[in-house]
Amino acid sequence: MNQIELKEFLDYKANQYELIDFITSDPIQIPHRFKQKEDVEIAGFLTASIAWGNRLSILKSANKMMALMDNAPYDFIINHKKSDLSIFEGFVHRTFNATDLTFFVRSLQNIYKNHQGLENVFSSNNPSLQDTIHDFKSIFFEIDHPQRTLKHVSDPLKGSAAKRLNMFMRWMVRSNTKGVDFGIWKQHSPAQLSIPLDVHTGNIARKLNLIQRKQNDFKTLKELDKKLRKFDPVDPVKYDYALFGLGVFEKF
Amino acid sequence: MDKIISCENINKTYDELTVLKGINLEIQSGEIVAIVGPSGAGKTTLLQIIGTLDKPDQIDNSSLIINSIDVKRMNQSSFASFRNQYLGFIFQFHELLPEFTALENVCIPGWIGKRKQKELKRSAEELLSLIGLSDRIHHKPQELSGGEQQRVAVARALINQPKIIFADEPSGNLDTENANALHKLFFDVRKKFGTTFVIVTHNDSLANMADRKIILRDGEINT
Repeated sequence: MNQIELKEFLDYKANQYELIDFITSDPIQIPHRFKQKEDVEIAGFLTASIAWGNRLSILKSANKMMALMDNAPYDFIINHKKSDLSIFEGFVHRTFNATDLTFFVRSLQNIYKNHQGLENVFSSNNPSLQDTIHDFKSIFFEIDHPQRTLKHVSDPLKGSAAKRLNMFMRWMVRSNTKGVDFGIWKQHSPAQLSIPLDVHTGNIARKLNLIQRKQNDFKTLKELDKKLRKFDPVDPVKYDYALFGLGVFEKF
Repeated sequence: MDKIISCENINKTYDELTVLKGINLEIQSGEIVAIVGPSGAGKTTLLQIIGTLDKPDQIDNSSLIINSIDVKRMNQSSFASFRNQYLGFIFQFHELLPEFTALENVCIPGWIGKRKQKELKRSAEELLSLIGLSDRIHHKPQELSGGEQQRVAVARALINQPKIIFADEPSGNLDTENANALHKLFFDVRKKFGTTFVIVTHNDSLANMADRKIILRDGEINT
């Protein structure tokens, strides 16, 4: 397959898998339960933050987080008092436990009360969103925090592909024309996004000769970014659907 | 006063997490009730259930009666018209449609209820006048202040003369002055139309003005 044929193939697959039906089995269904922008952002951020491992388990844990917040995440973030945080005792999703969730909720309150919300803290004049994610991490941990929680927010400038944060950005920024992503953040362009690279998308990308490096890290993400931007500089991350669909549904 | 809402043994469980635990509650017609309590206590879930926006766990000895109608026996297709006829909703974010004027936004539930255009428009104008926006009826939401937008949302909730208005943090996004004006409006509306209000709020001033405070803690009513 030459590069033109590969692009046409990936365009076709991206279009095939970016469907509203996709929502029913994907963690993006959690923020889709909400209408208000802030609820969508918070539900999306918390869900994306625990989006690793078995998908059913992710959905179960994310639903539990929402239920613990009375299915009113923005209201909880803004109005909770210290004493309300004991409600999270016993919560655990793999290595993300009640201590981590409690801190995430406290930090989100700081972000909404003192930094005009999540969209604002992800906005900056950085040429690359990966620099923005690095800056976000500094703000996220500017209040007192447990050391253990640092590992749950990735930093591209320390070599991470930051899969979960890039996925969250895709959800918020890419257009909702097909009813899957939300397109509620208008200060960003889909052209700035990077693919949520993990072991699965990485393996498919290698089989298609899109990348050569073996690790699924920031350097590989840059390699993949470069390639996908050649195929579609306006919306490179649409190919996430192609790589995901080929891996999960077609066992490519 | 007559009972307008009566519920018994309302439970709500998500997987193994129980959010509401055997709620028993009666609300009288024309009463203004505030549901208060810590974040995560189940206030919004309770409001959504008694407002028929969500379903309680299906257990034999639970009941939800609104305006003498057994909600548990209603089929799905009856819910929309039931809500449109008897219930009004106000949320923290007004959710007005940006491309419609204040007058048109207020008319929308009436259009859905297939009311006569002329009579509907007159009712909407009267309501907008009641809430002090008679000179703003042709403005779109982005041309109105936050307080004005929320007042339009109140008028929209009232257009079908609902028996009950459910409000979830109605003044959560307003400054003190606009919040106080909105709270006063609820009482003016009750006086004029006899409307029942069930309000979830963190606003102590509003909760203290209510006829009754229901304190929810860990999914149970604190007595």
